[in-house]
Formats: sequence, C-alpha cells, structure tokens
Amino acid sequence: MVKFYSGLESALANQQASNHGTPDVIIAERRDVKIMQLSFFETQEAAVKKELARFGVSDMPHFSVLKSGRTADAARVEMSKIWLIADAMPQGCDSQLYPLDLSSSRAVIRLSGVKAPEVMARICAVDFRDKQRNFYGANMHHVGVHIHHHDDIFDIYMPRSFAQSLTETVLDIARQYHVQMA
Amino acid sequence: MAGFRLQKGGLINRDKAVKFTFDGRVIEGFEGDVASAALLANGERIVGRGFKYHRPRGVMSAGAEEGGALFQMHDGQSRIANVKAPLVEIHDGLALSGQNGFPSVRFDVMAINDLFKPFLSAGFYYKTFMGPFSNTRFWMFCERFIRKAAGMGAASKDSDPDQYDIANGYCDMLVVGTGAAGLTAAVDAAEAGKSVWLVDQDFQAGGWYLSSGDAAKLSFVQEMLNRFLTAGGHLKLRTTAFGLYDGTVAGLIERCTDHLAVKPKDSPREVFHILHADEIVLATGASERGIAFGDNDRPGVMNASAVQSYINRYAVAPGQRIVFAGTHDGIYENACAAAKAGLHVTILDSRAEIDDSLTALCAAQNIALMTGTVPVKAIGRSGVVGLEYGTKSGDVVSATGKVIACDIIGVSGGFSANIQLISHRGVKPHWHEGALSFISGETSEAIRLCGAADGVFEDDEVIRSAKGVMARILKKSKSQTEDAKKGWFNAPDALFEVQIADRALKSFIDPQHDVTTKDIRQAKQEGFISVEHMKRYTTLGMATDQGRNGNVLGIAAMAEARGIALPEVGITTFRPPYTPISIGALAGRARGHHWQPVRRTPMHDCHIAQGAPMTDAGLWHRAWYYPQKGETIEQAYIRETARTRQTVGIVDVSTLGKIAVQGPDAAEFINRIYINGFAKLPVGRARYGIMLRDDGIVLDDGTTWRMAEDDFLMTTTTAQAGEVMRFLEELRQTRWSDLKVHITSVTDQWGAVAVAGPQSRDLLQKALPEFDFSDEAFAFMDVKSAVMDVDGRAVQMRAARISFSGERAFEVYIEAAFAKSLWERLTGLLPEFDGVCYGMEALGALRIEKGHVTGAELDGRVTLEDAGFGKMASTKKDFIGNVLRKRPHLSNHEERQQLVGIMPVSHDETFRAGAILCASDNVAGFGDGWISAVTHSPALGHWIGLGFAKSGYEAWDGQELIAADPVNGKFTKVRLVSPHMFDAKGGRMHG
Repeated sequence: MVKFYSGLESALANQQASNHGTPDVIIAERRDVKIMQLSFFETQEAAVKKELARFGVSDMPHFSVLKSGRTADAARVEMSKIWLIADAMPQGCDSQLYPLDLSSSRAVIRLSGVKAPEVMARICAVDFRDKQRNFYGANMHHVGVHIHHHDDIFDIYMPRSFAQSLTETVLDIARQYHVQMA
Repeated sequence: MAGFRLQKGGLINRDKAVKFTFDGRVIEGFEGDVASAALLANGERIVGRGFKYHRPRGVMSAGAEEGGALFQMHDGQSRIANVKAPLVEIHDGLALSGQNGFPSVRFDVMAINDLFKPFLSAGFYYKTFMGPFSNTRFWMFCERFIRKAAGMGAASKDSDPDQYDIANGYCDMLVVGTGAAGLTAAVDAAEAGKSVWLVDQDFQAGGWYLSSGDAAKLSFVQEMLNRFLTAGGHLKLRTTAFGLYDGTVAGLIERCTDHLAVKPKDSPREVFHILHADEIVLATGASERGIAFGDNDRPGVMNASAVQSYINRYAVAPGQRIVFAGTHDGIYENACAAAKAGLHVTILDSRAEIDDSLTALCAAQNIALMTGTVPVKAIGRSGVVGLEYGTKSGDVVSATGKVIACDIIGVSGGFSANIQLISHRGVKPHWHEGALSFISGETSEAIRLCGAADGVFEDDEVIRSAKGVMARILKKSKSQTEDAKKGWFNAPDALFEVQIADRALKSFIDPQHDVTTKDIRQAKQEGFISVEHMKRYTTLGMATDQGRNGNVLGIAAMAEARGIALPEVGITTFRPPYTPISIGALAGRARGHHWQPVRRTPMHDCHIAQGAPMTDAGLWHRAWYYPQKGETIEQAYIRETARTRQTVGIVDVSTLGKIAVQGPDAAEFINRIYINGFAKLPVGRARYGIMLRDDGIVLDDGTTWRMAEDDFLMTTTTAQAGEVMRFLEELRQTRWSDLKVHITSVTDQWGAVAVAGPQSRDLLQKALPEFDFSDEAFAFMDVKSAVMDVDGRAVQMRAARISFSGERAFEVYIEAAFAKSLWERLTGLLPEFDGVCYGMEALGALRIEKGHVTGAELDGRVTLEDAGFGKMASTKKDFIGNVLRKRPHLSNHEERQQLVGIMPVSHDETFRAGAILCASDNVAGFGDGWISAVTHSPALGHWIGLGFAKSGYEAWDGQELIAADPVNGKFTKVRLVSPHMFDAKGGRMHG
C-alpha cells in the first residue's frame, strides 16, 4: 500500500518532449537516491575518514567536492558536513558523526546532452569550468540546490518541496533545444 | 527616385528577396539589408518626425546613433517602440511604422509646431506650467495634449507575448566589438589559450571593415574569424554589451529571433547574459558626429561614414549628388566610395590646407574639392536639394550665398570614442586634442580599450593598439607594447558649429530631442551652465542615442558661450544601458507560471484530488478547505471546524519549519535561544518555546522535541522557518562558535499530519499500530519514534502529542517520500470515525477560538507581554533578547497594546480583520487597537476575533468598543474578552 513518491511525478508526467532523433538535452529523474548526512567537528576528521573508508571512499573530500567510493559517494556540502550518497541506505554509521537521513528531503534530476550546459547556464550562476570542484551549492530560481557536475552530466539535488516547480522551469528552458525525457 | 540600389557590390544576398512593410507600404530588399538600407534603396526620404517641432527626418546614420529613422516594430502585443532602423534586419513579415506623426510621418499635421518654435525652446514646460499663473490643474489639463503631441513612440499596453532567458556565462576574456581591433585582440587571446567571448551588436562581424569595400579587409575579417573559432573562441553576434558592473561582470543582450521570419516556438526572443569575465577588452569603436549648421536635420543630411556604409555594405546609393562636408581626412575615404559607385561627389573640407595626397586622390576620383569651405544651410524641406556653403578663415566663417545642388549631405565633424561602457565603471573621461574626442581615463580594473574606442582612428594604428593591449594582458615583451598613435596622422579641424554673424540658423545638435545650439545658449543665459544642468534643462543627450550625436557639439556650444575651453565644461555621466533593452529580458523566466517557485507538500496531489482549492502561504501552496458539493468556503470551514471538535480532523502541516539541532552542546544552544528552559527537557518529550530577536521582539514560536540527549528536532512556524534557520546559523557561526552544535534544515525530509479531535487517538491507533497512542503510553507532550515496515522498507516515523487546535491532538511525521501514503491511509479511515480533512481556513478558526497566535499576531512589533507570554520567560537563565526586551517603551505594559479576544456585542454581527478598535466615544485616528484575525466560531456560535488593545482586555471590562472599518463603511460594537475564548482551561487538549 505504501509507495515511494519523489514529488516529481506531476512535473514529469505528460510533458511534451520529443523522443525522436538525437536529443540535445536529456532529462531524467534519479529516483530513490539515499542521502545520509554525517556531521563532524574539527577533532573528528579521523573518525570521518574511517567512516568513509567503509564505503570505499579513499580520503576526506574537500569542500564542494564529491569523491566516488565503492558503495557510496561522499560529497562535502559544508565544511563540517558530508553527504553519503548511495543507492542503498548506508547502514551502521558512527553515531558520533550524527548520521541524519536526508533521502526524502531531496529530489534528484539528471541533465545530460550537448546543450545541458546551456540549460544550466540559464537557471543557475555557477562557473562549471572549475576543475577543483564538482559538487556545488547554488541557487536555482532563488532556491538552494546542490549540483554534481561530472562528465558533462549535471545531477541536481533539489529540495523536495520545490522540486516540481524547479523541474517545470528546467523543462521549459530546455524546450528551446531538442529535449528528451529519459 | 532619390535613392537606388547599386547594380553590384555590397554584402547582401541578391538571390534572396525580402518583403516587409513600412507604414503599410510593401518595401522590397534583400537578405542582409537593414531597414534603413532597404528604405533608402526604395527612395523613402521622410521616415520620421522630430520630437517637438515635428520636422521631417530621414535616415541619418548607419548605426546605434540613429536620430531620425526610429520606428515602431510590429503591432498589438508585440509592438516595440523606438527601434533604430539601421539595427533592424529585414525579413519577410516584418512590419515597421513611423512614429510621432499624425496621420503619418509623410504628412504630419503636427508639423505646425515648427511655426511655434520660439515658444517651445528649452525650459518650455518649466516656464509654462510653473509660476504664479500656473497650477497643477492647468498642467493636468494640458498634459494629455502634450503627451499626445510629443513622445517617442508608444509601447504596447498588453503583456509581452515573448519569452526571455537570463543566462550566466564565465570566461577568461570578453572582447566587445568585432572590428579590426576587437578581432585582433580576440584572436590573440584565444590563440593564447584563453576562453574568449567575442560579441557584437551587429549581425555580421567586421565592424567598419564591412563598409570598407576593400576585399583585403574583408578577407582579413574572415581569416581572423576562422582563427578565432579554430582556437575555440565563442562568437556572439546580435549581442549588445549594454553595461559593465562590479567584478568585471558585463550585461549582454542577445537578440535571438527578431531577425527571423518564422520564430521557433520555444526559443526566447532575447537572452540576457550575465557574463563574468576575468578581463574585458572594449573595442567598441567610435561614433561619428555631425557639425551644427543651418537646417542640418533635413532628410538627406547624414553622417559621412553612413553614406559609405550604405554604398559598400548594402549596395545602396542614398542619393546621386553627394556633398561631403568634414573636418578631417576620414571623409576622403567616404567620398571615394561614393565616387567609385558612379555618384557625383563634392568635398567641402573646413581646413584651408590639406595633404597633397588627398588633393591627388580627389583628382583621380573626379571629386570636386573645396578646401577652407564649410556647410552653412541645407536647402529643401522634405529633402535636401542643395547646400549653401561658406568660407572659413581661421575661426571666422563667411557666407558666400552660393549653393551646391545635391540630394545628400554627408557630414563629419570627427568621431567620439565609444567610452560609454568604461564610464559605467566610474572612470572619468578626458578630452584628447589630437583625437578631438573624450577618451577614457585609466582604471585599476581589468578593463582595457583599444582601437577607435581609445581614440585611435587610423587603420594601421587600430590594429597596433589592439596588439599593444593584448601584449600587456598576455605579458609579452616590452617592444610589443608600444602605444598606438591616437587621433589622425593629419590634424583635424576643431569645428563644431558653423555660425554666421548676424544670421540666425536652426542648427540641430540632438535631432531626437530637437535640441539646437540656440537652446544651449539659452541654458547658459538662464544659468544652467553645468554640463549636468545643461543636459537636464535642454534634454540634450537624453534620447535613445544617449548623446552619441550631439553631446560634444552641445559641450562645445556651452564652452563657446561661457568663453572657456571645451574640456572645462566636462561631460555628462554615461549610465547603462548602452542601447535600450527590453524589460522582459531583465525579467527572464520570472513571470507568469514561473514568477516565483512554488513549494508543494508531499501530500499536495492528494489535496488536489480531494477537490481542495489551494491558497498561498508564502511560497507554499496549502489546502484551503475541502468543499462538499455546493458548499461555500464559509460552510466548508465551519463544517470542518465543528467536525474536528466533535470527532476527528486531519490537516497537512508539512509546511512547518523543521530543524535538526545535534551535538553535545545542542541542549545548551537551544536553551540560550528560547525564553523558557530547555536544558532539562527529558528525552522523548516536547516543549513549547518562544524565541525573541536581539531587540526583544518575538521572533517565532514552536515546539522542540528531544529525540536523544544530543539530538533535537525544532519546529518553527511556516512563515518564519527560513528566518529562524538563518538566525540559528548566525548564532552558531559567529556568537557561539565555541558550542559544538550542528544545525540542518529537515523541513523537506518530513511530511507531517496533525490529527485532532476527541477521536484522534482511535483513528491513529487503527492507522498506525506501530505506536501505542493510549493516554498511559502517550502523555501530553510526549514524543515517540517508530519504524514502519513498508514492503520490506524501514520507514522512519515520529509522533508527538501536541495541539494547536485545543483538542486532543497528535502530529505524525513520516519520511516525505511516504507521506502521501500516510495521508491516504488516514483519509481512508476517516469515514469510519465521521472525521474530516480540514484546511487552512478551519485551522485558523480552531486556533482563534483557542487564542493561539500565528504570524498575523507575531508581526515583528509584539513583545512577550503583548502576546501574553510574559510569565513564560525564565528568570533563572539568560536568553536572546532578554536585555533589550526590558527597554522602557517595551516594558511599559500598561500603555502597550496586548493580545485580546473580540466578540460582537450583537452575536449576529460580523467584523473584519484589519479593523481598528476604538473607544465608542472616540472613533478616530489610530484608535486603541486593531483586529488581527477573524473567524466564525462553531463552538461559540458567532463571529470572534483576535487582536490587540491598549492595556489588554481587562482594562476594557464592561465597555463597548467600536470595530471601525471605515474603508468598508462598517462600524461594529464589540467587547473585549480573554483571547482564550474556548476551553480556556485546556481540558479537551489534555483529554
């Protein structure tokens, strides 16, 4: 009876987008992404590294950096906070790091295709040329989001309550190109 | 036909004919034409009218400085006023019309204004509508006629049907202008590995070289473009850099669809690029200025370089007998272009002596050359038919009375460097005698100018200038950084106005605003001698060309009138935008459906499916009420309120702010914030708390749940969630950085449902057997956690027994992704309990009956005591706002307005929120209080309200007041009561 709802069902349903030919922009939802936040103080870096190692993340990521691991990615969203991002909920986290499940708080859409950077430029002010960073805190239409930029793909972590509205905006912008819903 | 299309040459596509309309007439041109070129090719001489005198105007230039050919483009919703014909690319279906003429610009009855010119000089409005015989009413009467007669075209009153985008861009270097200098700089930078944006407002790259008629220069443009693009450069044509801002940020407007006959459905008309560049090179060229002489606004008088542009770029001869009148070597290139096109050409050069090579050039091209000669007066009204000229000896001009027959007068008094963009950065320009132009001063910002924009006018020097700038940027060797020579190789003549002793000439310096040299002298006579005052008194430079044509001429006229040197007068400040831009482009997508982002709760779709109208609560959309068939809003919320008190009601409260406060010092942190104690709140318990701002005013209230020793869940009101989060972060990061606390917003993590009413426990117990909701297990203010096994998934839930309604009530939180299912489970069971879903309106009714405050009461002016919370404040600890809340004017409780309940004396009467509470014998002024919230109370059977009244309700015991609503003409007798109007002792809540 109980089902998972990402909040994007309405935004992505019945959208008029071409599914023919090679798309310039592909929009897809990454459903059911698990996010576990770990918070720490300066004195706890060793504990964090140990915790990250459990998921195959080799080192503590710098601020605004996502490091990929074996079973989870680790993104440093604040100086004292790391998100473990995985398909399955990270279990058994060190309670001293105040694990906080934020999985339901974000909806994630993925933009890819040759025009994806153009779409991103039209909705958020981030210099994605920066090779030192790949996980950005940014604003989209004045709403705080996080963006993972990798291999010309943009994974946008949106606050769940704004997700439908923001996704509709992204879709409307993307329509000037050949857009495909994946 | 005065103008014609040349049989060969030009950069137009003769294989593709284009038709458009001007004032309803079909005009033919070719792809690559701009509107002014096509009109000239079709012999259209009168294409506009002056602003005040409605004198006929023709095409005057070939660029953004155009002062005569200003049109309205399209009609209806899409109408755009004041478009400059030289910037409009023609295409099939384009509809242009002249503006400021009635019934048309060809025949304009308002041309009679020209006869009244002596009365319409500078300061006309100030003198006519101010003073002892004038008053506001007189102005109001005249205004409608004046506005109809004057003006610069009319914008559409309908909403803009087009779509616009705002885009953010980042690059190492922005180069503005694709002339020789811009191309040189851009190629150097791109080939040095920089990411470069090269932008130009034109639809073709090449700048002045496009008008050169020189195959070598056109090849240079093509080669440079190829190199630029090969090196990975980013070329944006039809893109105007309209402003420079802090941090080398440039505002660019890219026109995407105006030039297309068929507009792509989803493409934006324009894109406003906010470009962050590490370096900016301005190669914006220079604008040619005229010379002030008699009737120099007549159709047929145009910039000398524009004549060359129309001939060489568009293959259009603006006329057949052309006189070039100028002060520098540049006009010889213009004249040669006309001569090569087979036109009859005469040059009037104000200089008595010129280089021999120029004389030889004229002889070779069969150009009649008259040195030491200047234009005195254009002959002809609807179009030039001749030019009266005079002789110039030193600074003295003498009339000869002789006229040269001609149909075009190409005039050039020199060039003004386009320094508008650098001026946006506050850089003061200075006068350069060699260039006879204001040029930019130095700036410490990473912005540089090159080419004509820096006062360098000779071809070879322009490229050297760009090379020099790039050498400095790329830190090349010193030998490559030698400065280019500014100005001309041969000295120009500093002639700005032709004046003949004892003869009055109508010499225009700003054709758009009909400003003449006489107006400038009048401004001086009347004391407006500062350049800024002169500008505003005469409106010189305030039209759409922003002074490109006339500023220097006006400044020169003022200098002459004051008897000072031109640089001493100074120049006015240039401000963005460089050329007019669409308001729509500044708004981008933030309009209509995307005006602002919308927040939806996890149960949003359920409310819609249940037929609930939604209402705005900040950015949130919340269910307002759940009408049954035929119900009004009032019937619906009264039913929902009553049923909740009778059985059970559920409401979506996901919008409440939720903040996780974690860490070993979390309890201390919270204890310092709330006015009441939280340090000893037991795990598994919740407590209601109030927090103040630093200044002692109530900031917010809510419950905080202790989930573990070092883990709290703080809830806030919907309205203040963001502000509380911001305030907590400020406290954590700045004032109490020694506390080990983490703060995280979890508002979106949890969906929340409040279940209220006598049967709330029974409903929940059936719906959620994971919890024990019995009184023994779940006491008032208890907090419980549970994990639901949902199809093998462990779903986190939390519940607290708290009440905003005054009933036995619980709030149940569940992971937002599963909240919809929780709602469906609860609503599925409601019929069994005769329960209801209730919306915002019933939520308000329930809380007003109980005297619970929300944002309507806690409006940023209210103290603890005002809201009746004074006794909650701890005397054993300090807290934010504790000191300043004791300021005399905040602690003078007797005089302050305090929270009260309000009831009508006659129970069948109503009153409105916002009404003023007045003593019955003094219904005036600000009264003694106000009403903040009103509802019909099903529990009490009549209307009630909350509000604030001086000294509180007890001070008005036994008295009747008036709820005064003068806007609606409603005055209701009321009495004040305790704000706790229903179940004051809380028996229902505690169950």
